[in-house]
Amino acid sequence: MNKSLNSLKVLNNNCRILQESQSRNHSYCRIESVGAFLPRKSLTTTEIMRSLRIPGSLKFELLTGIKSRNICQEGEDSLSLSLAAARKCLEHSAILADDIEAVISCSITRYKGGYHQLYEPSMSFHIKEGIGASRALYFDISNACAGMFTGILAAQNLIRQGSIKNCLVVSGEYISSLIDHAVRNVKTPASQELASLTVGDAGAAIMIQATNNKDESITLSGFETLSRYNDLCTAQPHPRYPGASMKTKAKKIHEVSIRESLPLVKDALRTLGIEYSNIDYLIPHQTSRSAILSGSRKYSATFGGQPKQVVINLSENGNTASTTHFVTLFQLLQKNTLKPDDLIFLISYASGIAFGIIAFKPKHLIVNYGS
Amino acid sequence: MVSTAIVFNGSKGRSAILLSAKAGAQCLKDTEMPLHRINKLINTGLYRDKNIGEPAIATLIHTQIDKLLPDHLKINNPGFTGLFAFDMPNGGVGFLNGIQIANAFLENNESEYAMIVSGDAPPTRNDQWTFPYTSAASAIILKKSDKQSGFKHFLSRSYPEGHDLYSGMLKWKKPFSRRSYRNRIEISMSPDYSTEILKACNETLGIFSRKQA
Repeated sequence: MNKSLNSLKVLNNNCRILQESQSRNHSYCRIESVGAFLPRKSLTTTEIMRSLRIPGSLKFELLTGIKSRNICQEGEDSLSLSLAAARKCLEHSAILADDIEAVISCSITRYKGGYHQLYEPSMSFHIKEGIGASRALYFDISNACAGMFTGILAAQNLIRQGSIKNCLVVSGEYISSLIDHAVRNVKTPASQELASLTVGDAGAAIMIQATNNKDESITLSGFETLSRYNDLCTAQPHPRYPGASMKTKAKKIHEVSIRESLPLVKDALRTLGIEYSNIDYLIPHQTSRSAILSGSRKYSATFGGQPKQVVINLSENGNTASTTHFVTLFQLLQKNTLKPDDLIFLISYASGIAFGIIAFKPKHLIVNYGS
Repeated sequence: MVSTAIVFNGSKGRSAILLSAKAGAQCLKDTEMPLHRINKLINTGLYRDKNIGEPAIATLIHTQIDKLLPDHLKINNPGFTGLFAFDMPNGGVGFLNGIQIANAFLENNESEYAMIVSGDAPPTRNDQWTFPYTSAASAIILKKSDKQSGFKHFLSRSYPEGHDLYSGMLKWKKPFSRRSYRNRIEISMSPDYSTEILKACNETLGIFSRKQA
C-alpha cells in the first residue's frame, strides 16, 4: 500500500503521475465544501421591464419569481467570479489550495478581461494558478447549464478510479450581456429571447473528496444527453454588440425536459431505494417559478406525494446557468436551513439536452460550515 | 483502442463540427459499430463553429455523426441510449485529457465504449484568412481491455511561467480597417514559444521515462 502510494507522490512542484495504482481506489465521493460569489451590482426586473419595447404589461416578475439579479461591473468577468467562488469554497474546506489534486472549470462563458472569450490556455489553468493549486491536474468542461454536474461526474470517476483524492469543480458565469441583447430584441411575449431576461451573473465552486463512508457520499445518476433536442436553446456571440445572445424555445424545452426526465428520476429513486416523498430538498435548475412549479406538479402526479421542499431560489439571483444549483446549496448552508440527514436531490436540465441527478445527505458539509 | 480516424480539410472544411463528425462516423463505419453503443462522447476541439457557447459542441457532433452513418448504424430509437456528450477543451492537451477521463469511465464500468473527437477549423468566415491551424479532425473509440496494451499511464505537467507565450481568444475589438467593433479570433505565439515548448517536452518525457523505468 505504502509503496503504491509513494509512487503517486508528486515528483516535483508541478508534476503528478496519475492512474498508477488500483490501491488508491475509493468507493465513494462526498461534497467536502461549497462556495459561491454574487457580484454586488443588482439589476431589478422592474428596471428591465421599463426598458422593454413591448406593448401591454408583461407579468414577468410574477411568472418568473425574479425580483432582481446580480450583474458584473467593470473589472469583473467569468474568471473573477470563478476565483471568488473558489476562494469562498476553500474558506469552508479543510483542504489547502496546494493539496488540491484537480481543478475543473465548467462555465459556458470564459470571459477574461472584458468580453474576450478565452480559448487557450484554458480557464482552469488561470483558476488553479489564481488560487495557488499549483500541482493540480486541470482542464475545462463545457456542457451548457449541466457544466458543473459534468465536472462532478468527471471528478467522481477520477476519484473512484484512484487517480485523485479531491477535485475542485468551479464555474463563473458572466451571462448578463444576454439581457442587454434581449431588451433590444424582445417585442412580444413569444420572443425566443424572453428567457434571456431571467439570467444573472454568479460564481460557484464545489470540492469533491474521496470518502469510505457511504452515508455521506453523493449518488450520481441519470446523466444522459438527448442530442436530437440540441436546437431548443442556443447561445453565441452577438455579431454587432459585445457579449452573447441566446435563443430559447422555452415552452418546448420545458415540456421535453420534464417529460424525458421522468424515467431518469424514477431510476434515481430506485437506486436510492426511496420514494419521491422521501426527498427533503428538491433543487431543480432555477429557470422560472412557474416552470419549477409546473414540473413539480408533474413529478408529484407521476411519483405520488411531494418533497418536503421544492426549492425556488430565484427572487434575488435569477437564473445563473451552470452555477444555479450550487449557489442555491451555498445559500441554504449559509441560512443554516439544512439538517445532516436531509436528503438533497439536485436535478439538472440543460441545453443539449443534457440531464443529470445528484443526491446526497449534507452530513459532513454541515459540520464544515459549523451550523 | 477500438478504432481511430483522421480527416483533413474536407470539402466543407470550415466546420469543425462536420470534420469531427466525419472522423467519428469513419471510426464507427470501420468497425461496423452502431452509434447507440457509444456511451460517452467527449469533444476536445478548441475552437467552436460560430463560437457557439451552448449547447455542447459534442451534442451537435453526435447528431451530425448520425446523419453521416448508413441506416444500419444510425440511432433508430428516439429514447435514451445511455449517451452523455460534453466538451473538454484544454489547449493541445485536451485530447489526452479526454482519453484520461474516458479511461476512468471505462475502468469504473461507467461506459462500455467512449468516443473522443477533436476538430478545429476557422469558427467563422471572417477568421478563415487569419486562423493559423489546418482544418482537421480526429476521433478515437476506446473500450476497456484486460490486456496490457492500450492507454495506461498519464503524466500531467504544467509550466505556468510560459502561459503567455501562446494564447487564443475571441476578442471584441475594433479592427484597423473597420469603424465598428467585431469579434475576432486572435491567436498569438511568442518567438520563444517553440524553444520553450521543446524544452518542456524534453523534460516531461525524461520524467515519464524515468518513472516507467
